[in-house]
Amino acid sequence: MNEIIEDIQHQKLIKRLHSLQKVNAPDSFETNVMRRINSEILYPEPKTAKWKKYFKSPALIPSASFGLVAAVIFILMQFGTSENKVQNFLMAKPKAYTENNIKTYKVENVASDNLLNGTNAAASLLNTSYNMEKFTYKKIYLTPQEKVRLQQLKARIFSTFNKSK
Amino acid sequence: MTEKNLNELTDEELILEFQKNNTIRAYEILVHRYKNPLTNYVFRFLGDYEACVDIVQETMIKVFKNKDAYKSIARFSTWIYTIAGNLARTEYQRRKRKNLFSISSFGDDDEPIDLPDENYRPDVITDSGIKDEIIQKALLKVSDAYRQMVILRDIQELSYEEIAEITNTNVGTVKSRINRGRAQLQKLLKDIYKE
Repeated sequence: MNEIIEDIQHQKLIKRLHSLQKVNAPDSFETNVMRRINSEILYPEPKTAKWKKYFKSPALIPSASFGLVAAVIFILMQFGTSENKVQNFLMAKPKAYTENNIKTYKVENVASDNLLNGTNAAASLLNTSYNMEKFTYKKIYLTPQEKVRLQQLKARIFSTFNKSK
Repeated sequence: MTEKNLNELTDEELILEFQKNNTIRAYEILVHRYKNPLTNYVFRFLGDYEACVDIVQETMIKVFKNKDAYKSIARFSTWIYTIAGNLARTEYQRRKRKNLFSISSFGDDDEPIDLPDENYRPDVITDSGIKDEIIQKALLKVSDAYRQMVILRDIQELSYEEIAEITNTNVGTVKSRINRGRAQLQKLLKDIYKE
């Protein structure tokens, strides 16, 4: 009963509200819903790693790579120990001439001066009894040209030795 | 099941078909049936068409995702109206916080609020479209709990029982809120109805 009285009180308003123009969904509504369902529920895209999102634009890849390389070089230059520090390769000595690679001989009973003094040195070298086991040496690999040059030197030494005999 | 048979089914039968056999066509028919009533309801509540379309779309997506949450003891219409209503209220609260709306606090003090814009005086109103706009503006000034119920009752023409179910309140509360809402709206629109 009360409802009816209230409805009568607001009769005009209720009538006006009933006659309000109906607002409809857009024509593409159903298509959009089905498209969303297909992309979000039925066939969702496989999840990509978070970091990959930053490289969606291929234009970022070269600059990011350059930045990364620059950062690595900077860190090595700044925090590397003196042994590990990157050297300027233009200033570094060629490897073949570093002290470690120089062929060193140590012959017992032979004075180093004699070795350097031409024919006398060769003579004294032959006259001196030495044991091969007592050599301390480092193995080096010679190029074919160096091997030829060594053979020539050997031949000269022996020829000089023969002459003196 | 053929297309003709599906179209003849009730909402409850369609959702059951969708739940049991995952019949997409049954879901599409439900979307077709409810897109316009829900759009009208959400638009009258929010007053923003773009947002309203998004919300109704979101409602349909939720129905699809949570189809198994529907229990056949309730009417499908009340279930879908509840989802849309909750989403609309959330959006309304979010907008209110952001001050996107200039809503006057028309609480329980029952003080009349006049429409501020003089262009909307009855003597300048000639078109029913403008009248609709005035009613919409006035509706947005009614407090949201009352507004929702007035829209459901007087625009969507649902029964008190259905409204009670949708808003999760009892029928007595629904009736009193509708009455208060109408009274607020009546006061807001008094100039129009003086004519």
